Amino acid sequence: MMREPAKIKVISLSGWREEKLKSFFQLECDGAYEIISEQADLLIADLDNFQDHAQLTAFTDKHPDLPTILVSFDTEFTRAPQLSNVSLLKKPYQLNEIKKLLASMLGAPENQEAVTATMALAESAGTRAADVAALAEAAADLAAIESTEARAAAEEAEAAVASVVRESVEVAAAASIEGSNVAKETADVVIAAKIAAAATAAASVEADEAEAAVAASEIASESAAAAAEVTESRIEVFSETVESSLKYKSPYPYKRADVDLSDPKEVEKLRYDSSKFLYGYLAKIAIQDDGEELVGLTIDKAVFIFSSDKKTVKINLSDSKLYALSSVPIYDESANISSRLVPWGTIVGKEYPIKELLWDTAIWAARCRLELATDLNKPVALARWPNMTRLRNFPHAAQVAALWVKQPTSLIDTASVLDIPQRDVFSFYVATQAIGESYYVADTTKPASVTKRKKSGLFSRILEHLKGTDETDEEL
Amino acid sequence: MKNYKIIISGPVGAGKSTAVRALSDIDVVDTDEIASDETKIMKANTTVAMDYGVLNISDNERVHLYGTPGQERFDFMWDILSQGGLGLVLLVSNAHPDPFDDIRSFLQAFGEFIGKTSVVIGITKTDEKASPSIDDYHTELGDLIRQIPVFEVDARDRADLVMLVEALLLSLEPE
Repeated sequence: MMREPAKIKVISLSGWREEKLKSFFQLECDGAYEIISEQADLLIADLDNFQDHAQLTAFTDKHPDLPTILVSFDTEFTRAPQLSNVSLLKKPYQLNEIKKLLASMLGAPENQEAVTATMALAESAGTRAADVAALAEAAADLAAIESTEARAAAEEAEAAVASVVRESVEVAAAASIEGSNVAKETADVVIAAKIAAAATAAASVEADEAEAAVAASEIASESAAAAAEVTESRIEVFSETVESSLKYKSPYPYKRADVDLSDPKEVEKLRYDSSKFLYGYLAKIAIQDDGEELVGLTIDKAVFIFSSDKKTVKINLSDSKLYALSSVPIYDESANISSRLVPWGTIVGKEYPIKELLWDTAIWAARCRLELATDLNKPVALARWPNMTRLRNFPHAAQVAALWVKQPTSLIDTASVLDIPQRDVFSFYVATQAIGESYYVADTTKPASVTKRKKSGLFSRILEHLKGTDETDEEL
Repeated sequence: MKNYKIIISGPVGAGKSTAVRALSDIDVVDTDEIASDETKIMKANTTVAMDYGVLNISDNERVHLYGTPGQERFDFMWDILSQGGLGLVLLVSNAHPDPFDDIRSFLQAFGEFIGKTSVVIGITKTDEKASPSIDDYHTELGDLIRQIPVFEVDARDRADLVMLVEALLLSLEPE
């Protein structure tokens, strides 16, 4: 017989920490604990939230004998109320420390079998290692911009994170032997430390560019500090690294080189699973029927609130953080889609038209790659021209639009016919798919002519004149 | 000297004169007069013959920009101005009572010219009136505009207009 979950009340924990704790109790403690609002068996309270201190005092005055865990950055715990059964936990702490305290204060839950826990841990660590590998790829892609120095930095970063992956696996193995959750948290810390190391490497490579070096060094320093609280700061670290070191200003800061599309291995490397990215979560909400309810998505501290007509999304992130969050895989446990009514006015942030948001996040997730199910050989048609003055523009997008709206053409042939980089074709396809404006044509007959289009000298010169650039050689 | 021309047309108050000014390399020559008819409800001055601007592409190539008058009673000017043009930029104000009908009317009036060349549609003044949306235009006008680039534009914003012209020229590219 399974024992009823112990009831835990929390006071002053931020929303995302509470969500983390809920997931932890469910997944890592086999549901041995649950967070409730009344009649608790134990209280967990954060002393550092001054606003809620009165609520905490009122509660502990009424329940002075309730087992209580108090957390704080204050090593003296000067604001701790006088309680008969209290454990003090200094920040930053690991969730396993909470678990140990709960076990000692409430007794070990019956259904925690060591073998099961160990296997779950090993699997979890393995998953995390795969995510780190994806993160490594993202970091490498982001670093691969414009200069050979940056490419060198990317190689450094890739090597560093590859080392992290190995270490994560080793740590996972240790965990399976010791049956301890410490390994997973340690791996996280190592990952963040290695990201910091990669940023430091980037800084040294770019040392001759004084400004960039200073910026990258600052980021490295911030990243190292952030390693102490990995789960909280993972996105910020990545975001700031991107922002300062990788000059994300381009519509998409990638220059993925053309590959041999007849080589299955090369094509395989282009594939990605959009459902693991922010775009995947947003697209899922955009198409589901929620009636008139506002729907919210939270990922760590990021909040996305959909308007009831799903045409607008309010976001509490800067553009650079949105970019960073869009570019890395999302851990399932950190994303939470809620159908609870969320007051629209309570979120301070930017309002994004849904099509712009899907377009942007799809491009940033794809990083010039293709969805798993994309068929390179089926002709693609455009239902209509996208509203290109209000969507993020990128090289050759208008050329591809002009072709597909008149002549459905496969992705392979499009790059060839227009004589443009594959990355621009793939990105436009991903973006128009995201807003539902491109589709495969049932007729798989190849276009009569897949010869390269003649470039009109006059039209190119007019565009060159209007844009002040050489349109034919437009680059990021 | 080789000369080409692009026609910018649309109903009164859509931003044609502003668009010519935003694109032209020279000070625009206009034929504005004080509005004396129903136009004066919308604005004080209106174009009675044309707005004229130029893109100096090279020492021996020039693109003339002709903005047509908006009132239908000047429609005899539309045929004159469009002769030999590369294509049509049609601007329609979202703040007008029936912008769908404006599009239908102008596509019909310029039908012969568009048949030989191409057209793009810029929806202006969406900041004054957000509805109808671009999706609404496609829903309402369907196949009439399916292959036509239809973008929201601010007639004062050169980048928006450059995108319109780019789409026009790309629509003209040989198959």
